[in-house]
Amino acid sequence: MDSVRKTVRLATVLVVLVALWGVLAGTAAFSQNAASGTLRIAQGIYPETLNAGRSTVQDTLNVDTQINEPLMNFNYKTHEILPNLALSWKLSNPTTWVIQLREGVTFTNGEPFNAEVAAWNVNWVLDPANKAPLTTDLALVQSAKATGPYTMEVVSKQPFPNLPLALTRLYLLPEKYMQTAGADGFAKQPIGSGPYEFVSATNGQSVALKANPHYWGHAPEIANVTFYAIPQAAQRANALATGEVEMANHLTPDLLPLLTSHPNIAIAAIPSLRLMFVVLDTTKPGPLQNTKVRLALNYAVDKQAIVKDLLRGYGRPLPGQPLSPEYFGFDGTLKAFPYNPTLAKQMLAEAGYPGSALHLEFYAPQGRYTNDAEIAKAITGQLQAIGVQVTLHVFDWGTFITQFLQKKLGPMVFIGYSTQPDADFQLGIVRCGQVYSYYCSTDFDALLNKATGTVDNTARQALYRQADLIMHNTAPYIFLHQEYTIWGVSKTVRGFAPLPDERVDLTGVSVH
Amino acid sequence: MAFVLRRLVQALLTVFLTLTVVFILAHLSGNPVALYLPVTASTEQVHAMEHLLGFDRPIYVQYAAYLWSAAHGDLGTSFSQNLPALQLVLERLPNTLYITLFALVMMIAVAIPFGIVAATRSGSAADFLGSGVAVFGQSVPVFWLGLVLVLVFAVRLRWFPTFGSGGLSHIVLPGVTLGAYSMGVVTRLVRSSMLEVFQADFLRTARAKGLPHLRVTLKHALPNAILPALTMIGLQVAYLLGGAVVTEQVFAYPGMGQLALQAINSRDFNVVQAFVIVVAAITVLVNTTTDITYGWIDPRVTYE
Repeated sequence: MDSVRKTVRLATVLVVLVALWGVLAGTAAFSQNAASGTLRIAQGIYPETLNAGRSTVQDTLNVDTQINEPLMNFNYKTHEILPNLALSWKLSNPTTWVIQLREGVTFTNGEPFNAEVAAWNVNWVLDPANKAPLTTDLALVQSAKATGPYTMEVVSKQPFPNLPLALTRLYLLPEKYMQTAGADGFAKQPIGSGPYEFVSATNGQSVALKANPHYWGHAPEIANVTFYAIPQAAQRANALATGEVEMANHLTPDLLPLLTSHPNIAIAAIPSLRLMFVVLDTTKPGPLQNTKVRLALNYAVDKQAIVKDLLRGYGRPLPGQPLSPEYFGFDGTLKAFPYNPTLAKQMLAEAGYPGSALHLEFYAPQGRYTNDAEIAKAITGQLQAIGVQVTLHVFDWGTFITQFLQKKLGPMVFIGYSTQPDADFQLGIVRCGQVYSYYCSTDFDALLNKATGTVDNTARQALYRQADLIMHNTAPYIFLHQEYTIWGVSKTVRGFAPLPDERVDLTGVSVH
Repeated sequence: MAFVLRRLVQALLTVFLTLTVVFILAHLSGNPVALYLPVTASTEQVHAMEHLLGFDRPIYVQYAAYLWSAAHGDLGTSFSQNLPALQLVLERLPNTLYITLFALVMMIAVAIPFGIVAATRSGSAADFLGSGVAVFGQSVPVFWLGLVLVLVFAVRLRWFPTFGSGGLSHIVLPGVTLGAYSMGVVTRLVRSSMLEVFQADFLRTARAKGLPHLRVTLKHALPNAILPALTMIGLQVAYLLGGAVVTEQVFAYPGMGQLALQAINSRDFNVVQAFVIVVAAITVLVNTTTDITYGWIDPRVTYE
């Protein structure tokens, strides 16, 4: 009898315990699902528009793309295109991509997402009147149309294997709302299907967002996110140190000793897509039309010293080509030009410029890239050390870039380029006649054109390697280094990882 | 009346000249179109954009169109933000006015008493202190003072925020930084003109009559000494609005100066033009008002 009573008592205790565990687990699960806390992020600029389709500025897109998400995502490690609002894509013939879209997604105003909306978005970008910068990346696209409720067809003028990559920057806007509110109305009160919703904006200062409770994907874990515009890196570091913000981007290496000694701040840094060069103008008559001179200049610059001393290690010398490992088409067998001033001097003499016979004008911006003017001065010094007479001119960014694009600067110009992580874009900059190009090689262009139309990735990679080799051997740049993207993050923030394109991905990020 | 009319015509002429100079300066520095396209843009795409923004028209056509629109209150659209340039500047104007007003009030509240004390106790420790503060305010670079104030009062003591706008706490540090120079100028001016007035015959008479020192200083000397200071205060408004560009940058304060600097860097012509015109209009307005007030404060001044 006693044993029965004991068993009943034990069973009761067990039932109570199981019930209690269930309740506790349920609460825990609930608290994991509900977004909580506030995250304040400091960036360099205030978004010039809240319409993601109208900008290429990463700081702007960091805000806008929380609201309007892309069709596809990109994995930098594997170079894979990942599904997002598009689930799968395949070529039905060399110029037609068939894209299968996700079902059951709605914009926060209740408007459904479907193939009609997706096709309208592609055509919106293609219409020049909409001033969508993505139109350059989609220049090969003819049109898009819905062929089923969740099937879209994109037709290109010639084979365009890179379409899925370009579509990682197509941010979906709600068609009906865009038509009623207009582009200006949309920019004042943006609506999207992304993990966060727009709350308010204080022009010039901040944009406040809140978690979208109906988000189809990984539920946002932070209730409120506010992006602040704080122009100077030192100011962002100050705001981080005083706890006025939890995250700050574009920090410069000189600020890091101060921040690393702070008990509540961690530094998160990785190589970015921004590659730094000295452009060598090969299009105008002069010494830089001689390949030997351009190669000599590559040997004369000490990339390692620049990275170590001026960037405190937050940089990586470029391996003798205008690409880094993050880009598709990178050639891992090419190596950086070693620092060899003796060889450089000898090559210059062989090219007909012995002693100090070579005189070059050198232009650089100030305040645009990490320690830009200082690095330009270091390069000047290193070139002078082998006898090249270099005159350095440092301009503010606005003057610099305007004159650069008018081809008024040169023959040496310090600049950095960040494009989509594919050789098609980064190498495409130096095609003949491009706006930023100071180089023209028909062989090189032929390779790029061929690669652009090649669907098979192995074949495409092989073509880019040939193009990389042309770049390496003809050196239209002094290949300098790859910049780092440096974030300061409060230790209350968990799960944040920086990305090479300086994008802010808040998936899985929480505040405690 | 004729004076007021004459001043208004002058004011309009000033604004027109400003419009022209700003237009020429902006366009001299080149066409910004390619800045608004990705680095992978082709020359054709640049030409298409130029056409869209009207930069492919001859410069005199652009100028005429610009004047015509300006006369209708339309200063064009911001290239980067796609919004009316004037609206963007006016949205930021209140923020700039707050710190300018703070600087102005601080300048008057500090400069006039300091100037008076320094003059009445000429050569004393108080004079030394007042003049010292004035010279410091006038000689210290704005960006340096701003940085030191941020480091001490925002980063170390945490009495004030390090960036942004939003309330009085956001205005104090930029306001002090902005007003320091003008405060120095006006203090020294009040001091020297007080000293000059103290030598005047009518003051000797007032003192000889046995009037109390305070009454002589405030009732007889000050109204006469304040006139040059008043003109200077009026002129300082233009300086303060211009100085806001640097101050707002140091404090990451979202006023129209910060907007203007960003617009200059991105060659957003229409915004730069709208900013300069707003500053010019305010300056002209304040100076005209000062001139008119002059006659009201000093009955000896007439404009006929």
